[in-house]
Amino acid sequence: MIAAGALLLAVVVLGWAAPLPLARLRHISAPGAELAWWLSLAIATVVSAGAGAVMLLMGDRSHIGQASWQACWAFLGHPHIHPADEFTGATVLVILCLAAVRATVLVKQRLLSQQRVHRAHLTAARVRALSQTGGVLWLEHDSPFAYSIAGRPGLVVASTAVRDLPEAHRDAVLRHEHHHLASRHHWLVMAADALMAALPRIPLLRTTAAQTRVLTELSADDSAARECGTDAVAAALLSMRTPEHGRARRLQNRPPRKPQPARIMLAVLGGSLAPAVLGGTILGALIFAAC
Amino acid sequence: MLVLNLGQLETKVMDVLWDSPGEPLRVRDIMDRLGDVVARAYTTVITVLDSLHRKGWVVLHTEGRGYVYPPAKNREEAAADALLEVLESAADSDAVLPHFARTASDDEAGILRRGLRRRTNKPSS
Repeated sequence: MIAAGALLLAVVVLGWAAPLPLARLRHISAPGAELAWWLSLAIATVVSAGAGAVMLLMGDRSHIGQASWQACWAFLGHPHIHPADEFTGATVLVILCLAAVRATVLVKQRLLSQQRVHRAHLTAARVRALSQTGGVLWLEHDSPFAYSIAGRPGLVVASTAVRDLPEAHRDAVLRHEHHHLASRHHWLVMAADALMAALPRIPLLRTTAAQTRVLTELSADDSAARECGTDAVAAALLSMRTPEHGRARRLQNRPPRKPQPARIMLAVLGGSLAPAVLGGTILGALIFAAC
Repeated sequence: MLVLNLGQLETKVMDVLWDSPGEPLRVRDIMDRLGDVVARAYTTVITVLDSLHRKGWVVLHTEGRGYVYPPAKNREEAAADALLEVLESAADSDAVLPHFARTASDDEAGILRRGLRRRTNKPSS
């Protein structure tokens, strides 16, 4: 099945060769759109691997790659299942099944961990080990840091040193954390990590996991900067326990970008269709070469 | 060992117990003190106390023909335990954004934990 082979070849190209050039293209759009692009590309690549394997196994029953295009098309679409095709298809499917098990285990562990950390913070607030004002749990600590925890309700936790920052800086820090919760970044990070855990040898999935962590932070920075001002967010980033010089510089060098739903949709569409488009291009090139 | 999972009604019952140090309270006493805050049936309060007992928040003593439920730890000790769990759960968890380990250095987290353990091990006042 040449069509299935072309799709699997597209998966290999995207999975192994694409991350480096794609990572160099970063910051060409708003972080939200880039995030959508990486995640949809990663998911589409894995799905395409499964589709390619199924196509190989279905062989002549699928009628994919077969047509009445006389000789050259007959060359492309073998009318029977070749043992090598069957072996390749079965191998890919087995790998994907094992990957699904690994991803499920990671998601289960991550959910348990999230539940534990969420419960611990709520209990600490209830026994007044953490004070609670304005929807924020304050942890007694003289070094400024903040984080957020997904759950019901989502929690924003900050050290009391953040409370002592100038008002604009403190608002920027809290806005940043609230954006993580509102945009469900915890779930996106979990999805990207699950894909990486499922197939850790595929560079695209490793890069996607890393990009997701970075882009969620940049997206939250932009959201905070739109509400509290670039200077306040940059100053807040520099006053944290681990100062984020790179992110502060980025904000100062370019205005925060507003996420545009049309661009996000376009990014999702582009990422989702990339394996099929590349596979189609490879197939077209093969037809051209054979005929 | 405390199971650090305290529900809302459980918190209210613990508040009553902590606000009455050294005073053994029966179920009726607890109900009276919950008063207008939470109007609950006797069986509900029994269920909550049973849950608190299983989780290690209260101990069960017989007094006369009935039971009393003193708290297993005072509020400060329970708060220290809860804080310790907050730090440990957050530091071990990838579910926290940004990862907590990046926000508090290992040294700092270690110092904080040791301080809390000392506080927890102090005899209750």
